[in-house]
Amino acid sequence: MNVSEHSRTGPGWEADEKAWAEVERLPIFTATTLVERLDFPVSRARKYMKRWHEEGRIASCGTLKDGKTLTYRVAPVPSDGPQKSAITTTPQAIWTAIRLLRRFTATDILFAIAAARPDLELKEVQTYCQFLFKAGFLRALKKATMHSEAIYALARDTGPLAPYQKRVRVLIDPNEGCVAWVPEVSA
Amino acid sequence: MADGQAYGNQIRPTRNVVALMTLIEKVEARQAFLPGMAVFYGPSGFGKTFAAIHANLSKNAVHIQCRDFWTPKSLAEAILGELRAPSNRRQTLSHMFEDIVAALIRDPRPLIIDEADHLLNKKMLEFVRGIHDDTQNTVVLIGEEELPQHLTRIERVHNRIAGWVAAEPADLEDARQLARYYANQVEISEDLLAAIVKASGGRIRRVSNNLSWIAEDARTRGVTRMTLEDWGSRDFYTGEPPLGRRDYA
Repeated sequence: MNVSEHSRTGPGWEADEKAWAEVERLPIFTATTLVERLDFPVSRARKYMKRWHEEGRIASCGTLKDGKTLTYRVAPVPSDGPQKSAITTTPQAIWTAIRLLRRFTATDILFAIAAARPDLELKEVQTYCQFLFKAGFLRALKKATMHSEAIYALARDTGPLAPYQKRVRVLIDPNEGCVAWVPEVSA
Repeated sequence: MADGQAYGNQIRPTRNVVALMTLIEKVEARQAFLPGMAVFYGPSGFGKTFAAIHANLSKNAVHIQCRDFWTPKSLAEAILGELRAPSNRRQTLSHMFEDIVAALIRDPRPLIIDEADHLLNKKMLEFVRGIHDDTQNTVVLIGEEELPQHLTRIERVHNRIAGWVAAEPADLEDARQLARYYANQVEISEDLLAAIVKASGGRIRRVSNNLSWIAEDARTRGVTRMTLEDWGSRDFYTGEPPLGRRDYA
């Protein structure tokens, strides 16, 4: 990943490049990485992490075992190519309509996208809305009854890309009756 | 593809969907030296947002819904967010402008700005004009009925408008399409549909509300067909507030 044009303009961009080169290839790192490898003062290392995080160059991935030290990884580079059309996936088409209507029924969504996605059925829209509702993206203004549909409102608008379900394999320890390991899930 | 017939016999887009798509395609097909801004306007409830959703999906547009309290920086942040371009809140507006232009040149998508009436203040319109001038992308402003009149007073923007299209009220054919979704298990007679369109003032939202209401009534009564006679003298949803009660006035 190249250093952004913004950071190139500052007087210390050479130090920035050097620090970035240290962390760029690491799968995970902390501010201490810069302290140990480049002899940076702790405050300066933290400042770098904060700035890179704000610039979207690194993403937070939890803390170390002490529960305090923040860990980071390099954020994926957004594709330079044209974004896939919103019609291509069902969740994307529904999510796009939800973000623009904000308060809706499943039928509103189906009608809004019908001409672009005539293959979609009401059941698919309802299923996706229920998934978003369970995940806290939607709230129900009115619950469904036998004769009328649920009315939803968008509660969490996290951006243009649609949330979608993904199945992950986990390791279960039956001795302790718990999930022993969950892989890091990437989008 | 803007022609309604091109979508087949099964699902026909409403006439405002066709109108907006035709406008966008006309602006996209312009000669290189011609301006690429367009305006789609009309009263609320005419289905402009439904049309914009279709345009968004079909054209992979960058769609922004403006808010009354927005500043130029809020607008820039919203556009950067839709473009998925990393935004640094400490950036100046001019840096953000450069990032937007760079992203739209790299990935030329139409920019649709809904509720564009809110752009009229706080130099936001100049910001949008700048994006158009530097990218030459198609920019569609969607707003209320008075939006064209306001825009004609701003010469630098007015000169760049390649097309003005007014949203039309829903007609009987639109109502038939709406009935397929909002009253899908009930057959609504033509006379009842015509009465709904008239009572709703051509507003898509009110037509769909009335259709849902009638369908719910039909299901409750266990019938599969509704005519104007069945509906009788009951009122439709018109959006009008009730008259004041004389005894309490």
